[in-house]
Amino acid sequence: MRMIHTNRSICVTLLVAITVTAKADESPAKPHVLPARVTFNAHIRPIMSNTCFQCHGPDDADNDSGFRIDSFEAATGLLPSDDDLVGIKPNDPDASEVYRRITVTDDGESMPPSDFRHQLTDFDKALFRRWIEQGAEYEQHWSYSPIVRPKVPTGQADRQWTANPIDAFIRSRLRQEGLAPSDSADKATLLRRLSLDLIGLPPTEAELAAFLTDESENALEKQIDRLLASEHFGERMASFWFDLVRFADTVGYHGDQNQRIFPYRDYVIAAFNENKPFDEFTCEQIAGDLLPEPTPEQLTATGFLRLNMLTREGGAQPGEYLAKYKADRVRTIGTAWLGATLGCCECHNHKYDPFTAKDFYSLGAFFDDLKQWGVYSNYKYTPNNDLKGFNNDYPFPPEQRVDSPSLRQEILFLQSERNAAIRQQIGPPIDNKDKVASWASSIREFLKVYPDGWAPMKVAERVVHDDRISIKLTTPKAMTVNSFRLEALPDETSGFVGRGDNGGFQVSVTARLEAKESNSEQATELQIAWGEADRRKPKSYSSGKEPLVLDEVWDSGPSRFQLPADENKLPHTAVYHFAVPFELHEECQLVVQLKSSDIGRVRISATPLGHAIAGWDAASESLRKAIVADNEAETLLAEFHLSTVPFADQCKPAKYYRDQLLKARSGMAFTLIAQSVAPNELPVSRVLRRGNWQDESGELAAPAVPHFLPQPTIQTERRLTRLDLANWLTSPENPLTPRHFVNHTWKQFFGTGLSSKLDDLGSQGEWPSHPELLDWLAAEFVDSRWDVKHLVRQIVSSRTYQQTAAVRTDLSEVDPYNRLLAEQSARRLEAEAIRDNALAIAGLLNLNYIGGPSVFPYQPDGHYRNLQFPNRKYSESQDARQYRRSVYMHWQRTFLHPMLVNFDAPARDECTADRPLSNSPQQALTLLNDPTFAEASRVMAEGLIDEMPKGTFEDRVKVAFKRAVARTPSGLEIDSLRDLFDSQLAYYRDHPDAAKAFMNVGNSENLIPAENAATVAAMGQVCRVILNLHETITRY
Amino acid sequence: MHPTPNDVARRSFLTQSFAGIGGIALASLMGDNQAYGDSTVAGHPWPAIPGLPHFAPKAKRIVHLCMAGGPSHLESLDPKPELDRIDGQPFPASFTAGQQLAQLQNTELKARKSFCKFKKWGESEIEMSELFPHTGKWADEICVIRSMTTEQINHDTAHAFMNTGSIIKGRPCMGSWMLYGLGAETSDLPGYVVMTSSGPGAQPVSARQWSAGVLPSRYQGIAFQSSGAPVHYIGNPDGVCQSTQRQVIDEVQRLNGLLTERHWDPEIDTRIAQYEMAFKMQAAVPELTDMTTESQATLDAYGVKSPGDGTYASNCLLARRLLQRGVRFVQLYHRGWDHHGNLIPNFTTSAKATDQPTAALLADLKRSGMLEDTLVLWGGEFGRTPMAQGSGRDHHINAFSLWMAGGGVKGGTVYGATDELGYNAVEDVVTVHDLHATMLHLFGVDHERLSARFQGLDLRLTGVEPARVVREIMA
Repeated sequence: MRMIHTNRSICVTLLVAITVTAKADESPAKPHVLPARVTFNAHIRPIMSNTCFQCHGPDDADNDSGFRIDSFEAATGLLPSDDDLVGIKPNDPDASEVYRRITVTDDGESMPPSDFRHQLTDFDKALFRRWIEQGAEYEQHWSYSPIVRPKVPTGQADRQWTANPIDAFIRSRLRQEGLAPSDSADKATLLRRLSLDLIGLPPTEAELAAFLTDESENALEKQIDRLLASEHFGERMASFWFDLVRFADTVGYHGDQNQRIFPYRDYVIAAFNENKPFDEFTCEQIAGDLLPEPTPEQLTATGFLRLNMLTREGGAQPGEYLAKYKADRVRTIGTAWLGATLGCCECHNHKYDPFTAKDFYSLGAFFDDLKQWGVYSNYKYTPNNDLKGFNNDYPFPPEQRVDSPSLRQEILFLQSERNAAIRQQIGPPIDNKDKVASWASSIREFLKVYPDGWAPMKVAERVVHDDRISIKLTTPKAMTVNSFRLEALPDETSGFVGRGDNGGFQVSVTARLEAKESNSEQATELQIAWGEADRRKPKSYSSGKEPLVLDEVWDSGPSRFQLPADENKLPHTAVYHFAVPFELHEECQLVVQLKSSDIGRVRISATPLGHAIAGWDAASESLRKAIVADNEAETLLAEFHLSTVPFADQCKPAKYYRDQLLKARSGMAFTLIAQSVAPNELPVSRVLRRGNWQDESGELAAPAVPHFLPQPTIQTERRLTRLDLANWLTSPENPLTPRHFVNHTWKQFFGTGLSSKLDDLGSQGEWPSHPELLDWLAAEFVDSRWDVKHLVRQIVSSRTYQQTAAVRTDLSEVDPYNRLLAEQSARRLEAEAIRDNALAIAGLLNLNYIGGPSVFPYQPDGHYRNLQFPNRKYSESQDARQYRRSVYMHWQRTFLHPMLVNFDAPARDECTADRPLSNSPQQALTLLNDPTFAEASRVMAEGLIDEMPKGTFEDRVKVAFKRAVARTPSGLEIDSLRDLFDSQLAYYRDHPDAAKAFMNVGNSENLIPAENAATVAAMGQVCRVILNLHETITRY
Repeated sequence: MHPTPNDVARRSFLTQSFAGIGGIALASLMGDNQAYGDSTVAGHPWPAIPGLPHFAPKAKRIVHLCMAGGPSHLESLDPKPELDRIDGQPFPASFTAGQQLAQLQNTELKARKSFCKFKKWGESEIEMSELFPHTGKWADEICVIRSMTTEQINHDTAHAFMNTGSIIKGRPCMGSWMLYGLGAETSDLPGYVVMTSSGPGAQPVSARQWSAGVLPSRYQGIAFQSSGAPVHYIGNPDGVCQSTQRQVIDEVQRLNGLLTERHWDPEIDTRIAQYEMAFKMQAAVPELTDMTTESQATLDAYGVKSPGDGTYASNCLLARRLLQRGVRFVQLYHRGWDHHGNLIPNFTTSAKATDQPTAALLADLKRSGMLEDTLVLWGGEFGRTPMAQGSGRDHHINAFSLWMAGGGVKGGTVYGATDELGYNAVEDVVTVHDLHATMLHLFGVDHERLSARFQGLDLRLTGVEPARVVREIMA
């Protein structure tokens, strides 16, 4: 009797006192009124998970009492410790021992124990009571239950507020809470928001003007279409994916050496741009190599499987690191696809969710077929025959050589930059116009006969002495020879380019010039400045990179564990550039001597053009165009210089860009890929007890998906493969992948997921703010055949998305975290977008092509000082690649660029589903003092002055504000900035050295002559202010 | 929908006070903490979590002298006459069977004696190697722990384990935990500072060792650079003098203030406070690193030849200056202890490079009374094998030594012991988690109650396994 009385009084108290304070980690939108219907998923599970599961949850191994509370069967049975007591008796809280224990005050009996870190509030206890009273119904955890498309709420009066079903769900909840939605943001704010969210760049003035003047009904829709179709959409979306798959340029452990992987980045960007269905995207990354006749692109996608951290440390134990690699992959599948935290199952069953240690190792076993090594080198203490000869400078096989479209674009870009730089260096004005013109006309004639710029040479004689092949070559007409091309062609019968052991060859090449009629004594040895080849096997590496030019011996590909495995059946092309171009007169012949015992069929051609690229036409597209144009002299000046001046005497830009172009390797790039080992090499997979890699006594764990989730449907008993895993992840039966993906995507547009813990949809995650909306979006995502752009379009087309942001003061009490979405949220830009935004506003951003190798923005000296094996030096990009987007920034795991760190970008050591958004003094220092931002201010100022030479200060500030924050500054703002400008102008006029120093910030050229340095410096300070504004780095 | 009268009042207060912000800041620059002080708009930059410390702390700040690479305990803190006796003989297999080895995998194992002599130091007669004569003089302040063990046998992961208690990436390091939990006294310097120096056997040390991991980035350790600007982005851009910088910041503040009229966004106020803090850091760091005020006698005591040259000696002196200014956690990495080969010359060199500055730091702290509540921790990420590896020793995780001083530690004591060959810690074993629990305890923190939510877990520095506070070493 006494107990009942006590309980009742608690209950009564609670029903009256409804102002129980919410805990910090509760759903902030949670009402503090006891709900009429208490449900397990919404109310009880979060409490149990936090407070009870530690000892009475899914981990049987660590449960002294033997009592489990996580299922109806277990909780409603007799207590293991007592024959009379029942844990939970449905409809009867007072007969439920659980309820007694959570309300009793006796320290020995009360639950949770008084020293446990989480305690129940009175409100929690009241929920428990009502739930038991109402039958103690258990529900499958919301994220594991099948997705059933919920009905869209039908709104009554506010159809015009409801642009699509998203709004219906949001509106319905708002109505319940008695809140009104907000108005739409003004058009300019909206376009800036859309642009920053969808492509990560601010709208240009022209884009803004076009939208503001577009009065049509579907003006906004057109902008959404434009932005979704932009190829910068992929660059933006990819960053989020890269955090999940921990994409980085370096291996992460110990010496943190470079790995070659950028084509995978291109793949991801292209996948988002092409709107590759997410199931296909998943499959290609996890099992692209297992697809029938995989394309190079599908193989590139498997780079995902290689993005775990790797070690090459001497003394590392291969077995230990293989266990680490496996665990890393399992955690990544968990966090990237399932929204599940699997890490703890490496040592024990999950405390909160039904995942077991066996699930962990079974999931890991899917990756056991990967060709990999625990330690990527051959040490005497850990011998590794596969990697004999490897050292810290070597790459990390297996790799694939791919013909990279982005690298080809980079080559075109570099050629055009080079030509511009040469033109600037040596003219105009052109003092040798006539020479250029006559050269151009000879080239024009040549190209009429040989449009690609290569003149095939005729073999006059071929002499073979042992391993020396001497080929005497002539051309039909006299010509200038700059370089010759040596093509090694597959044998028509064997198919191989060489006759060596693996069908390869090795050759070293010399050349001489001799008269046709004379003896060879009168020959002139020709000096070769450099040789280059599109395919080769280098003798050595430096920090993962091949030597710039061909070694003395040209060795055909492929290297060990490198695809395509049959590269020795593909044509190989080298170009040998002469130190001094020479005339091949009709009475002369070129003698090319090959020292090789195994080279097969060869073909040799010559070109009069300089800097031809191996495997490419000698005549570039731009040359071909210029040569037929009118204003050829100026355009062709660079080509003239490159083709007629001996390499040693060429100007600096010619030499600089030669090196840069050589680094682009004819557009062929390496990328990490997955390869399977032979079935008989598959290791035995076991559960590692307590995660101990040396313990071989655990039970066998063949590839399998988590036991409690719907299982893959395959007919046979065969071992499951990565392909099965990929198919299962996106199968209709698996509810986690679509829920997780839409939740993650939602966060990109609202700042918070519908379930706010992006990396955990499990028991310890959050009951979604709008569970039905989440399921509706997930169902729609699957039914649309995993159409990512469709999902994004729905989100940004909603009225909910388009509301004003961070203006309402009435919400701060009722919905402080804006989970009900009665308005939009303000959000600081992500690290990459902060830099891109500043460069775009300044007019410095280089958007010339999509994809390509990593770039190296300014970085403080000495940042890599503590990085050895090998020692590293950071060389900032010297050309316009300095200003490429941040998604391309070199990602050094152990010493990430400090700008990225300061703005919360993760090192990508580990799969990361969510970035924190901090607000720190380091951020202020970065925006104020990082040369990237200082240069952006300087260039922005110069641009404003250059574009408006007669403009007033006010004119310029207005344009600056348009570019930075898509609005006009207020009178107060203009006046305040003018004061700053005036005082700075006075200062810099008095201090010309300071003005000059400011003019020299950054590598980019000045637009404004030095005599106006004071004005630039003063305006530069105004631009610094603008680039530092909270508003500029915030998306409203 | 419309601002309430209160909001309007709040906003106009902010707006009107902007004109004053520059003045306030200038006052704070001149040391007038009354005007700006610790209650910035958004509070102190390094506030403690309410309720911390849990109980009265003995230590208020810490300097971790991390001897990176793994110094040999057999040449520093753990004398083993029996090992000396069996020098060159096969190492008893009873010790090594089934144990993890690093570079000694697949080789014949032979005992290597300590190449140096041990001496009894101080009144407490603690036995320490003769290679540390300066530190030896402080034996009575020092507590040597000879029974440390760790779980990770390679540098990178062992450092991660020592710093974060885990090898899973993204876990906050101990410095970040302390800053997050306890805050720092300083409001114009970073609360957690890292410096590195190097000698023979330098192994890379990753910035993740001082990463805040899943905690906000403001809790990361700030690495001081030995060349260029001491802190990334601390110097103004070229052509920008301090007065211009101030005016630019004032203008940013003023315009940000105007923004609060357009948006209800608490981040704006925080941003304003961070800019103020940034400017204060820009002034405080040069003052900090300007060591011209240090006397020649002080420089000589530390063995500093050229202040700010990035040597361990210079870093120790700077560490003292940081501690004096209320920095919570100072971590010095001396990367010079990975002696797989050439143990004799290389260990001697590193001992020489670190011994005198370490002792000078202790002396300085003692003299100023700061040693009492400053914890000094000396040690590496693991120890080294009693077996020879050529002319050196391999990594060893079953036993290593470190020492602590000050901050509530019982000086003149030795805790724990290894077996007769220094192979296994056998008496009063101290794990890395135990060490963390003990350190936190000295700071008045219950290690089980300092946690942060991540992926549904209450992350703790000491992890999920039980950890022991080693009360025996406390004064």
